Amino acid sequence: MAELLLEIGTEEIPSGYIMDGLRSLKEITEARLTEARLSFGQGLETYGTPRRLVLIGRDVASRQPDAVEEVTGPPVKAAYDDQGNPTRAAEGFARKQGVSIQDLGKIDTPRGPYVFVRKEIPGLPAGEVLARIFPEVVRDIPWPKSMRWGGVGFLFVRPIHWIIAVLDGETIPFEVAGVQSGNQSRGHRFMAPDPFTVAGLDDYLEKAAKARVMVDPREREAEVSRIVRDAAVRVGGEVVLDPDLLSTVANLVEYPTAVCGGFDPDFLALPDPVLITPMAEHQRYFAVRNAEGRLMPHFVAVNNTLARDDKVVQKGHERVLRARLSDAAFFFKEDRKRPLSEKLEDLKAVIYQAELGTSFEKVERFVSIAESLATEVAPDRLDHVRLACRLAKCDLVTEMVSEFASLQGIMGEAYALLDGHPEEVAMAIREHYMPVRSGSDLPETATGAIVGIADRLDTIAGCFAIGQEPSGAADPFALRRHALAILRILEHRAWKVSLKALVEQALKGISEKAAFDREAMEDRIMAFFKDRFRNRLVQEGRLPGAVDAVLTARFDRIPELRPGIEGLERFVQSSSDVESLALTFKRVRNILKDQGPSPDVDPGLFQDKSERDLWEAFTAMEGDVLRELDDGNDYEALTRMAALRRPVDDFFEGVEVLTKEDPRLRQNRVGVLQRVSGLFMRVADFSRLAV
Amino acid sequence: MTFQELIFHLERFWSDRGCLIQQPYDLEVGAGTLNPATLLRALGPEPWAVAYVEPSRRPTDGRYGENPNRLGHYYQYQVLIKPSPMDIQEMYLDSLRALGVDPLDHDIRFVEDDWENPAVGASGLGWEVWLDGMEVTQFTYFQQTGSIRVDPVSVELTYGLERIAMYLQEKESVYDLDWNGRISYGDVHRKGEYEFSTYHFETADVDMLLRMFEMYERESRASCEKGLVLPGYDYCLKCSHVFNILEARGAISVSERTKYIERIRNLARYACKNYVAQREEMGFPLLERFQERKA
Repeated sequence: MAELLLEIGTEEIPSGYIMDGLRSLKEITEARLTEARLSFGQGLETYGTPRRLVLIGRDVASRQPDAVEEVTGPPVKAAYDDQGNPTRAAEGFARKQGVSIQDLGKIDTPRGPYVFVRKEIPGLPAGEVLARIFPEVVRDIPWPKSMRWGGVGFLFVRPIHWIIAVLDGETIPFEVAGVQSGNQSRGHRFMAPDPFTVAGLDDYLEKAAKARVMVDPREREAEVSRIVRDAAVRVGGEVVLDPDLLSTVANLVEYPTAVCGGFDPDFLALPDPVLITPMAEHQRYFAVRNAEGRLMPHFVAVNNTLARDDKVVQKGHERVLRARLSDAAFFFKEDRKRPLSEKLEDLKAVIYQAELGTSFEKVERFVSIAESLATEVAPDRLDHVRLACRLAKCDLVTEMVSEFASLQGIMGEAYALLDGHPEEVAMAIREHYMPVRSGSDLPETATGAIVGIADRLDTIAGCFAIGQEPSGAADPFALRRHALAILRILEHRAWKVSLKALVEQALKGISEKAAFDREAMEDRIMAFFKDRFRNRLVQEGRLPGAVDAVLTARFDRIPELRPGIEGLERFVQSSSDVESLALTFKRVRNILKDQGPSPDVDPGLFQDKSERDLWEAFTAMEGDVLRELDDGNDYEALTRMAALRRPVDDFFEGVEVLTKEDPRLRQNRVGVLQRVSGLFMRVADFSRLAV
Repeated sequence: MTFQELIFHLERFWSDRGCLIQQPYDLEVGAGTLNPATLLRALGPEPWAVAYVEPSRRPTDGRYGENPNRLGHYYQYQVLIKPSPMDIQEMYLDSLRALGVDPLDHDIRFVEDDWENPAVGASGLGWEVWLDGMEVTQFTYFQQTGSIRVDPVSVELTYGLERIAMYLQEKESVYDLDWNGRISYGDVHRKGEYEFSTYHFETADVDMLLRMFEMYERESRASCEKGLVLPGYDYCLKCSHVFNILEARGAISVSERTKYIERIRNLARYACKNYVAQREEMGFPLLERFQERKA
């Protein structure tokens, strides 16, 4: 067993690409090794820094196992003549297989004897195999963006400068992108730039460490964590350890060192997000809090070089941060010249969408949707909702958000609080964007939830109405995400409002801007919502048949759907009758397909016992079923309704429903079935359960 | 080191490394990249190495001379070398050493930044170079200009001269920069910053500018059609600058913006295509001139 070391030395790789790149390097190499029948023990390991991608195998086979290949050739009859001499067919086969005629044997098959040869293929030394595999591996690592450089045609994440490929101390010779593999690495770009020769794994790890390169990303992250904590403690505070910032920063350096700097305490008058965004997002600095949780006028920068005098570096960082915070303070001052609510007027000058008018008009539209929703689900919040709607988009025209787009909502909240608006209104401004990503947190306040739903409904309705609905992979306005957000919020809050009614209202608002068929559009949007909900449920492992059955029948009040599906699933799993119930129901639906509405059922028109029995059974259970449904006991309701199957089947046997004899009799029978079908459809479209 | 000494140092440094020292272009441009010495020369197989100062106008960045860090007009130092040398990073670091910036005294980092200018169909991969947290140079390997893939690849270094000078002179405000030992940056440019901010944000005649855009666009196309590459490209640049002023003036809505940029990009592509064809027709004359330059 042998020790393998591969190091691809490059120019600085974007920090966000490194871990995925290493993972691909490992997976692709392991796959190729497996293909080549070279074992590699427990698995390959990877290390990496912005300047190097490293692959290590401690237990790689030194050579491929010998292989035996058995190949069947032409039939013996064709390969040898009557005298037993080999024919052209035999010669050709032998030649193709690279063996001599004497090596050919015979094998019996169901179709008679065939010529056969057994070849022994000696395994190649691992070095030879790797020399072929490695260039392919390097070429095949996928990167979000690749580049070419100089006159080299090779595509890679950044220019390649050196390659180490060593197996048990021996160099594996190959060339990639004009670079010859060897056994020399380079140390830290500034602190130890000289090349160093590598004899083996342990030698490499030792020398790299000496050359101020921390090759292990996990070790580096832990080190960054430790040094920023220590730096913050030294100024009497605690570092705010943002995990995303931590991993980014760990992959921006080969040798992390921390420098703590300060800024003018006057800046602390600014809201926290205004300080943290320039620090973390732009400068990749860590913020520092005191024991009470308040931000301190300090920051921690993680550098790549241990400078001769870190005061010089510290001053440099402080100057840059001072410039950024001064800008932020300037924007803040400008913004505070007018209350947030006054910016609503400014939205009249912002085009939301060419065909849909200004942002101001959008606000007007979604404020009425929000009012309707609030009236139904949170009437005590109506005033807050109105105010939150009017303020929700105002921060988009502030200097601060124009400069730092990621502060949208957050600045709105901060400014609203400073203006003295109620806390829930301010929170709603920030929360109406939530969930900000698929799967992230939902709004805490009802107000935030309502404004968020209303805004998103207007966006969806508007885009659909102007022909911008999502298609295939293209969803530039994130309508799918918005629809899912609405569904999640409605379920989470258990708001049993009619989604259809809300969509209708949203479209009504849009109809002043665009021309379209309102009913058709409503159907399309509801279908869009239904698909999103269906996909999610099926992904979660719910029975697709049950999902379809329930969604087809009653996709409108979202919190009712999941219990309905669960009840139907339970029913399907426990009942032996589901198939026949589904078929019966399908029959009912088919018959009713082209029928218009009927007058009330008149028992006096019944002619057959089956009509009377069905009607009696139905009317006896209807009240109970509806009550069970109101209580959310879908399973119990279903069990009751299942008892109607026999009477319905008998009904079909007993009478001709669409009798041409007497239109009144026909109408009456159709009416009975419509009532029965109507009850079932309160739960699910059973025809969807038929196989 | 005064502001002009900084420029002399860079000119001498890159001249010593084989770059042709050109002068700034004589049209308004937003960046050194738009100078035909970069945008056009990056195309085709002929080698090229050039360095020059480029005064760059960015109307939307104007701050009336009141912001100590942000300017509507500033100086870039632009270097383009084609094909990109393997040791370009080291060369760049040497250029910093030549300015007295020793990497062991500072924290110098190559932080990913994939730059693009959609108006001229140019994009590349590379970094912002940070000096103790401050971005001082945009370091880019072009992958395309004029929406045409480049081969061989050029590397572009764009130094932010005011920033570097402020760092070296330890000044908090750009206007306090010592230009030549007697005159400050503010003496030279503060009034202009105020006037141009006023012009770009408040008084520029929008109707006139819109008409100019149309006229320049027509003339660019017409020149390209007649086989004149440089005049065609000049008018593309004029369109680009007029668009920048219109933007600063607030005359362009979000949806219109994309359309304007597309129009400018089409002009750039036309000129660039014609440039490549023209060089081919000429037999790529510079191919032999750079025999001693290795990739």
